[in-house]
Amino acid sequence: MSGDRNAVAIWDYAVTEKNVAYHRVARKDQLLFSENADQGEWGDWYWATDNTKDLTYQSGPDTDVRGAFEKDGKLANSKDSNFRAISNKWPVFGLSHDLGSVESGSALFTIGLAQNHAVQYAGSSKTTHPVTSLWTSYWSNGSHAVSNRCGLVAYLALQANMDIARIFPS
Amino acid sequence: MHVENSVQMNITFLSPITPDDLRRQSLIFSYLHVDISSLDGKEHDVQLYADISAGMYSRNFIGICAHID
Repeated sequence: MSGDRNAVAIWDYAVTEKNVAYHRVARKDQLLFSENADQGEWGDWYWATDNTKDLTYQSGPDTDVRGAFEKDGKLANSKDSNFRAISNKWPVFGLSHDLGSVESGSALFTIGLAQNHAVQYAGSSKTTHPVTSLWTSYWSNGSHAVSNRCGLVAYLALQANMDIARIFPS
Repeated sequence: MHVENSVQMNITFLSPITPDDLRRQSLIFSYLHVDISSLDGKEHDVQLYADISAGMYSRNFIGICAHID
């Protein structure tokens, strides 16, 4: 969430009205239009998946969260409430799907960055002004945007099929 | 990726471009699809895990793991 390992991160976990489960992670002190080591220092990161019955989640120190999956094959459905520096017991945000006893299966995860303001624009003015990102005209906040991302995969599959039909007409 | 000769795991990273759909294009989101299939014709217990870390370390940002029986 920052190029600075000493920057403090804050985070949350929730499920949207369209049943998309997500961790949201952000730099506590947002630095608009700033970067550190080629990483933007503002905006909210979303790490999401479908909130299926088999899903478990956990946030916490990397050894705890990954350790829970290694030991139990699932996560504790718990949140770490100790907001701290990124490098302090490296907080990680886990999502786990139990596919059960199967011959085939799959899971889809989404990673995204929601910034309310993406650029500064001067135009003919002597000063720059922040410009809101286009997505904010469609969705009121990042969690609404994440909630609607599922439809994209179906759309892409349809596009891919149409492109294939064009290139290889049968 | 194979787990011995019992299960195959495919991981696809997709950052889509939809020039005909500005609404979708306006989202800065990428997709990670994990696909598993049995190689030996038998069922297997599969649990998947994926995480992100709050910061880059050892150049790792997304971690993926699978439990397969």
